[in-house]
Parts: sequence; C-alpha cells; structure tokens
Amino acid sequence: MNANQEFMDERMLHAFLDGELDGAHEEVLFRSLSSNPDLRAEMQDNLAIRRAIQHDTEAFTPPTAATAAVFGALGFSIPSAASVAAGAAAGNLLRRLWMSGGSAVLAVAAAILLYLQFPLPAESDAQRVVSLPASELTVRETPALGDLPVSGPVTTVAASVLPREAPAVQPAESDIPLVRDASQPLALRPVGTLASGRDGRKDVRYVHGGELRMYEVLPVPTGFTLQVRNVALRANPAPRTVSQSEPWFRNINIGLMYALSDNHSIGIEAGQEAFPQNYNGIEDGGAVRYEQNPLAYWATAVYQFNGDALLPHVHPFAQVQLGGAVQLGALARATAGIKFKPFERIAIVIGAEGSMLLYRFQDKLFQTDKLGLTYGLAYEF
Amino acid sequence: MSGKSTHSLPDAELFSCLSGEKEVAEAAFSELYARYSGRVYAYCLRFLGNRDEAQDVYQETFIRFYECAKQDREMTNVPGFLLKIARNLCLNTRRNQKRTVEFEDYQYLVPPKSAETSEFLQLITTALDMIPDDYREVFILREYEGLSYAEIAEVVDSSLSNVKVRIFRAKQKIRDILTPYIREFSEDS
Repeated sequence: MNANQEFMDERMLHAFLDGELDGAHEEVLFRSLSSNPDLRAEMQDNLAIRRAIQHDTEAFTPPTAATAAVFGALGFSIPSAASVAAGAAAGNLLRRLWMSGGSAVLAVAAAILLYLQFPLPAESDAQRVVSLPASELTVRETPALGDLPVSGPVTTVAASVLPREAPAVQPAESDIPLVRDASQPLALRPVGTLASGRDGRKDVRYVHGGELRMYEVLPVPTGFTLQVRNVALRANPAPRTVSQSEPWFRNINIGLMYALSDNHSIGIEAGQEAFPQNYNGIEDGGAVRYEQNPLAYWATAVYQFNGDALLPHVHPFAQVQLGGAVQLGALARATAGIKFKPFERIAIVIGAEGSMLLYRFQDKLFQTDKLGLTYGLAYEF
Repeated sequence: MSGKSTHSLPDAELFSCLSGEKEVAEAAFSELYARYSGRVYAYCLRFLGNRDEAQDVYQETFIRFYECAKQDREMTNVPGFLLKIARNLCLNTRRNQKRTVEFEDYQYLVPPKSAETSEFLQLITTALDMIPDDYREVFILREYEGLSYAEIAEVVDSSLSNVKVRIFRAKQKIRDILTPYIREFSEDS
C-alpha cells in the first residue's frame, strides 16, 4: 500500500469516527479496514482515547466556587450544588463543599486536637492513663505495669515493687522521645518512672512496646498556643472582580502565640486573603481607575490580651496585629471576642474583626477596610 | 416564560428571556448555565491546562455571555456562542500568560492532578498540553464538546477544510504521543 493511500485511509477513518464521512467513502474505508491491521489498530486507539475522554468527569464538573462567583457577580442567588453539578461524584461534591467552607478543616483540626488532649485507652496494646492520690503509692497484688496506680507530685516507683517478670531493659533509642521535654524535672527509669505536672495534677501515660515498658509523662503547657481561625469579612470597597484563584486555605489564618503572663500574649499570624482594591491615578495624560481583587499572603505580629473568666470556661480577649500583605502594603487588624475553653488546652475562638490595608499608588495612599466575624480553634501545648 | 418550566424551553427562548426582568432572567440564566456549564468548563480547563486560569476564564465567559444577552435578543446557537466567548478569553489568557505568571500564582503553573482522574486521562491531558494551541482547540471542540466540523469552523472562525486538516493532525499528534501507553490503558478502560 502506498503512502498516499494510507494517508487517505487515515483521513477517512477520522472522518468516519467523527460522523463526517459520506456513504460512498464508507465502503472504501470498510474495505481498507478489512485488509489493513494498522488501520484497525489506529481506529481502536482513537476509540480508546474517546472512551477515556468521556470519563473525564473532572473537566465537565465546574467547581462550586466558580459557580458561586458567576452568580454572585451577576447578582443572582447561587443555585444549589446539586442542580448545577448534577452527576458529579459524591466525593467531588464533598471536596468542593470543603473548599468553599473550610469547615471540614476545622473539624479535622478539632478531631486531632481532641485526640491529643485525650489519648484513648486501649487495653489491647496496654496503653492507658493512671492516677492515684498524692500521698500513696500502692501496688496491686498481681501488678501488671499497665494497672499500676500512680501518685505523688514527683513519684518514682521503686524497683522492688515492680513485677519481677518485667525485665529492666534499656529503652530503645526510638522510645526516648516518649519523654518530650528533657529539661523538665522528670526522672526516667527503664521501668516505671513517674512524675507530675506543675499543678500537682497527674498526667501519666503508660506505654509499652514489646519487652520495653515505660511511662510517658505529659509535659505541662509551655505557654505556646497554636491558633487556626477562619474569617468572614465584608470589604470596603466591595469586590467587583473575581479573585484570580481559589485555594482551599483562603481566609484561614494560622497563628502561633506565646504567653508572657496569664493575660498577655504575643505572637505571629499569617494567612491568605483577597483584598479588593479601588484606586486611581494618571497614566498617559489621562485619569485611570483600577479595580482589582488580588489574593495575597499576609503576616502580622500579634499582641493579645486575655481577660479573666466572665463565666465558667468563657474568657474575653482582644488582640491587635500589625504587619503587611505581600506586594500590597501595610496591614493592621484588631479583634475582640471570647474564648470558650471546654477543655484544659483547647479553646473555641469567636469574635469580631476589623482590618485595614494601606497601599500606595503614584504617591497617593489608598485603603481597603474589612469588618466581619472570625471563628476558630486554639490549642495550648 | 410564565407557567412553563425552564427545563422544557429551547435555548433561543431562554436566551431572549435574559434581557427581561431580573427574576425571569435569573431563571433563564440558571437553566442555560445548567445545560452548558460543564462543556464550557471542560473547554477552558483542557485548553488552558491550568485549573485557576480555567476558573477565571470560565467565570468571565458566563458574565460576558449575560452582558451580551442583555443587548441581543436573538441567538440560534447558544453553546457555540458560549464557546466562542470562552475561546477568545482563553486565547487572551494565553497571550498574557507570561505577564500574568510574574504576578499571580506562579506556584500553580503545574496543573494539579486530582485523584479521580485516571492515569490514562492524565496522559491525554499531558499530550494536549504538548500540541499547538490551534490543534488543541479543535481537538477539544471535537472530542470534548462533540461539535461537528462545521460547528467547529464557526467557533474558531475558520474554513471547513482548514478545520478538517487541523482535527486530523491534532488526533495524529495525540495518538503519536500516547502510542507507547495506549495499549496498556485501553485494556483497563
């Protein structure tokens, strides 16, 4: 078969697959297909590509955020995700809901923090938390280390009270990090070393792995607090353009605070946020006005005042922040609200927040103000 | 449109409603959006190969579509019109891409691949990125949008014979790129 015939066959094949081949040429093509295995292979390849494309659900599923942006920009109410993205996979939908709300992020963070706060006892692998009165150290008749009652501000279990069958082996290197802060006044023994926290409260976790049996002593809080917040702010000027991108962490702030005292903390906080900007100037001899809504990273230093409890577990707080948004300008924020502390180390933060971005264009200063709500979680460690 | 479900209305009638009262326009727009949003997004995403850029163009497409619809009361080919807007915006984005990269989201240049996209589809999208724009756009219009050659010629504002050649060459190039993998994956699909 010559090259020209081959070329013609291929063109006819593609036209046929696209429904564009007339009847007369179809017969010619069919004859070629019956005698030319390469042409049949090409047809199969093209059909395989087409089948794959038909399953390209990602391409045919517009993101919910994009739909919301379109309808929002036109002043229409946003249709339900179900009606717009009918046929989208459930996983897709969940992922997009996550991205738009960020609530699942907070839920996961809460779950992790709760897990860290309350390590679950698991009998099967002998991991448990034990405590006992401060003045006593008692050992049950058939003590298994996992059952040892423990007490005392700083208490060491004497080797003689330990079960004989528990061999005193050196801890493996990998086990050493069980004691998290070597600078704390904790004593570590191959078997059964106990200690207490600053406030006399016992937080002793017993762990063993294989032949090695150890106590992990949970360190007391060091004064650091990790804070994750979401902010829902209304801006002045209001955004008239859609931001260039929509990352999942938009409007989520992450901060690290250090407590100077019971009431005063300092730290840093950073996040990513869209800052609507309207400004004007002179270009090419004419007045020009710019409207944009750039998404920018920002970071600030934070001072936080924490008040005494107004109600059980409810503390007021206020904070001010000074810093900047990358490539935009100076940023100031102020927040006031409450922290609800249902657990010792975890606080749910709710408050009102205002921010002001100052930026310069042609030696003139412009500003973007925002006001809204903030909510999140803080974890002391 | 009163008393009739928007689902049953043809495109042309819905389009004419867009210039009406807000409530009517909103219902008509929602219906047209539900009909064609997937196709428009597919075109933007696969042409640009970048999710963030695709979303921007996609949003702008529908906003411009609505603005045009408020002025023009007749439209016989709504999907073609939408794709034409999307195409122009995609080409503009491509032209401005270098400048945009300097300021925006340079960290997202590599399109992230979602877990649900099969390996073979990822290869196809990679192959699409490797062929010239004028081949890629007709391939997408044919394979993703299902347009006929004549409809594609209208969208890309080109002759029918030129479109035929471009589609043929685009498919050949895609197949050439995928040849080492196509057997393996076609058996899985």
